[in-house]
Amino acid sequence: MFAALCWATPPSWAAELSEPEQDATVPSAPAADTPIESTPLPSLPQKPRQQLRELDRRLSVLESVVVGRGHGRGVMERGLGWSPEIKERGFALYSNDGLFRLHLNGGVQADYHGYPGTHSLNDPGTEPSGFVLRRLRPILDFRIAQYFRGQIMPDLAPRKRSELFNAFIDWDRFEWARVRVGQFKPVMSIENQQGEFDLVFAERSLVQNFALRRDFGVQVTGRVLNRAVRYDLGVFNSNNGAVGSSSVPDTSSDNNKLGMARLMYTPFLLAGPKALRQLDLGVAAMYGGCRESVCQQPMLTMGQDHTIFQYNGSVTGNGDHTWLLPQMSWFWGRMGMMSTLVHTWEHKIDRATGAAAQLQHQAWMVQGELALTDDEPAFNRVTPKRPFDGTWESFSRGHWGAWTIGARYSEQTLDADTFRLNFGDATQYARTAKGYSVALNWYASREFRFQNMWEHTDFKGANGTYAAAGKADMLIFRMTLIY
Amino acid sequence: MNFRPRHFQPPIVSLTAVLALWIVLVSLQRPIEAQAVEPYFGYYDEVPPIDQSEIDAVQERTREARKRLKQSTLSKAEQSDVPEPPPLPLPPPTKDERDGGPPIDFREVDEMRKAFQEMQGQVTKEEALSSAPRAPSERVPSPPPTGDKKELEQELSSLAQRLNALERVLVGTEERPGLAGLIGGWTRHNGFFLMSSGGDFFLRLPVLIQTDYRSFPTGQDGTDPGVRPSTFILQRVRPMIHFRLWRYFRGFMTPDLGNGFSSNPNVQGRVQTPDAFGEWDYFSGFRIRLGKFKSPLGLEMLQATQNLSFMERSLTRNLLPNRDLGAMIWGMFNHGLLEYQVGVFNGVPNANFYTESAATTSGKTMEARVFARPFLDSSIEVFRGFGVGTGFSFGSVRNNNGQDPMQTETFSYTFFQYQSNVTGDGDRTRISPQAAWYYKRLGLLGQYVRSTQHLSVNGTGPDRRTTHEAWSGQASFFLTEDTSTFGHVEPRQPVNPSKGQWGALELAVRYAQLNIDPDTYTFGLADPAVNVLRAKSTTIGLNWYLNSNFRLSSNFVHTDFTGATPAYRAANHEDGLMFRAQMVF
Repeated sequence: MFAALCWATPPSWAAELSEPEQDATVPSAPAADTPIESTPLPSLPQKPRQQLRELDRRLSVLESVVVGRGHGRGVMERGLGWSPEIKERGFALYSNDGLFRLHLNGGVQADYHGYPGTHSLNDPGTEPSGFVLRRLRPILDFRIAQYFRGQIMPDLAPRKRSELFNAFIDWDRFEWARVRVGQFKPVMSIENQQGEFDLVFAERSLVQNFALRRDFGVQVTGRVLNRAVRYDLGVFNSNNGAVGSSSVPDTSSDNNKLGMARLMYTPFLLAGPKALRQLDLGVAAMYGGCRESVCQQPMLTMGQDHTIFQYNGSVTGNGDHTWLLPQMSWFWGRMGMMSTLVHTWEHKIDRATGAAAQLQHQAWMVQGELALTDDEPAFNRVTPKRPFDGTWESFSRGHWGAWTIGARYSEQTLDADTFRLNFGDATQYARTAKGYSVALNWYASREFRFQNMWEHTDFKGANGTYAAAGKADMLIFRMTLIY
Repeated sequence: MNFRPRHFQPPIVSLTAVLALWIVLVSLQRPIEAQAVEPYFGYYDEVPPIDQSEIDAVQERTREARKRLKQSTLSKAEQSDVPEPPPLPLPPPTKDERDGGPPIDFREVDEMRKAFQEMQGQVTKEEALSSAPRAPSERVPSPPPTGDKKELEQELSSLAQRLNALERVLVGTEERPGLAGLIGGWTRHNGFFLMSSGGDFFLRLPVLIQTDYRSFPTGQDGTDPGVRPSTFILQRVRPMIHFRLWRYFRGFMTPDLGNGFSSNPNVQGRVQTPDAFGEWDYFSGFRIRLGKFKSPLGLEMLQATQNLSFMERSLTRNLLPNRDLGAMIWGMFNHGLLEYQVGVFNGVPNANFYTESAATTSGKTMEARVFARPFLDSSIEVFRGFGVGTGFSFGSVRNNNGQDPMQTETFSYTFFQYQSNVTGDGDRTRISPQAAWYYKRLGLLGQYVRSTQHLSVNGTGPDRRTTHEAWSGQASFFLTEDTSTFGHVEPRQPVNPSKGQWGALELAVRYAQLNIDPDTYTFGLADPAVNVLRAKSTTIGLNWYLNSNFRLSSNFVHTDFTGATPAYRAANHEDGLMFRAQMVF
């Protein structure tokens, strides 16, 4: 018995507890390679009272090792199974010392997309209403030899072809300089940085049209000055169409690379008004060359159901591209808010006509969330204080999960030269788009949630002949399961 | 001799011979049980091997645990009135498998949960009794000893209850195994695993990630075929599943989610399935494997990707198959003194990646390989790591030309491909002598391959025969005191700067050459203006093994091309500078 448990060596805290008690009457734990035959059954002391005390002590040690007590989890919860800890919750396999871990996580998002009002399928990029499997992601997350971490996350949702979203290796020995290589989200826009399963609204804002969604590259991230300052530096492929909400990571289309830097400051993290403890302010910049391709995916509405703008096929980059993104987020009690602005300077050329110009596009968004129940919105996963566990008893005990409402405004404006030089079809595409979203979210538990979002976007064309729909309305109902 | 079979079909005679071989081999063999880990070089595949000795140790300990618990007199004490946890409604049964997946027996889960809750409740109760929270080892049975017999009995009964609860949770019965019957975690050689307590059912979850930066300092001309800009790339991303069922049935499967740095449209950006096979390996000398796996032909190809001394394989790869669908018999004698593989496959084109290729003709390809380590048991240590062998294949190829585009080691440059209207017109024969030698810090590996094939234009033209050949030789040397191996390198000192340990550092050089048959151009089977007659490559590699799971590599590859005609216009050389971070467990 003891041998079996010691094979599944207790966690370090348990070892500490049992170590001082080693004495002649208790057999010490046989080492992993000790033959079983060499560990005889213990000889018990003769007096019954002594015998009882000894048995009780041994049993206590066993119980603490197996079931766990206090802060420590027992071997049976630690070696494998469901890890209840918030930060690494989910099904997992551990090594005895916890330095090697494998988490088997996954997430599903199933939507219904509806288009009330005047949704015309003749408009560019529009989709019919229907049920959509938005995301289906098995997630393998692992830690090797304590400081090497990795993740593999494909998306199997059939909306597009299955593709690999994340596959990276981290070396996080030092908090002030963590290195990441592979394919992952560049830390550029705070909105893009928020996890797909943690968003307040079903889809991201118009700013996403100018964000580098995911790419291959190298990134160094660090927290300094008592974690109040966070910096990110990275170099990424500048593949064809890396920028935009529907981009797909790919190999480079030319030898140019994108350089990215971001600085975030939490001014009141350590001192100051309590309400501002979770206020983050920052700015990101990205710079790179683009010549072989247009380096921009079609720009979509927030619901990704309508193409706002797309360059003509003959347009490509013509030199430097620069992105600048001031951004902030603030969480306090029942309230959370986030805002980002992106301004770009892009050299473009129409290879057919020879027309060239530096374009300046701009987009921004601001959003807020308010919890109706006694819960706290968060940048990461929301953990309801009274989670609904799927039984009617849960309702009667008042465990209804967390309910929140959210509102968002987002706007994008393209450079007037875009249409003046005929880089895009002025009769089809809009120069300005203004989007409003409202959301009602039910976080039944940390793992299970329902989201409802209504989105309205107004378009303004570049000239009088602009023929596209002047507005788009969309309703998204979403069920999310993430663990 | 005029006789040339149009299709290779295994005839009755061959089947009888195989059956006879089976009987002979089975009678010679003992079960594989005695063998702990696969030998360190030979037929190795991409599959991280399962360490059977670790599994056996666990099995032994569980058996012992059951024995000890049965011996315990206290556990046999009558169980008293422990309050049952409130029953919770069970989800509807899923025994009918209506979802197409294996069902979950919720009753079994619920019983286990009840026992666990019971024990947790007991522990909590005991804890509450003691006035202040103390370490369990400090606790004494309460009330303090008085010698009263009744109290003693009470305490004894309480102890028996606790022990019973523990026993039921951990050991359970044969029908309802306790938690100890479901073992999992991480061990040094098996990585993350789940297994039954008997060890007969085993699941291993290995992962391989290779993330590269590839740049081309000189010699890249945008007009040359298949050239690529410098880029970051995920070369291989493989979450693998390796399992054993009923002890002697082994399965392995893996998707490859990496983008694969190749200009071959069949590979680039597509999710691939390199391996998916099942194997019956009761006898070490006679194992049967079915599915999709590595063709047993070239030695370098059989070395696992993660274990190569260089980032990619040499030019010889272009004349060998990668993976194929088929059936194979293989075995090892005397722990690797002699090994063999014989199989029948669909017959993928040379240089093919692992596309899921259904056969395009009914003709199949037979492949065989034999490899020996004659001095394995020798008293002269220096020769023990020496191995020599040869691979051979013969089969019929039609409806495709049996040769995918040939590429340099960087996969960025296509230096040879047939005209699109060239197809196979009969037999293809390949032979590949090979040798390797590992001694202390030094590793040497060399192989030759010769591929002869009958081709025709449009399938109607005259029968043409081409013979391409390639060879490579490589040497690797550890600058640190580590042991060179065909298998997985485990640094003697895993990196730990505070202890002055810096992992293992390896230097490697390789030369490879590939010669195209000049007749290829004489017969007009390929365009001499863009394809080469000869490619020679030199590779220098530096590997830093931080620990057995993480490795950083850099390779410089220089490839010279000789054109088939003076009109040959492609760049006459290519330089590649590549960097890689690799994680495998």
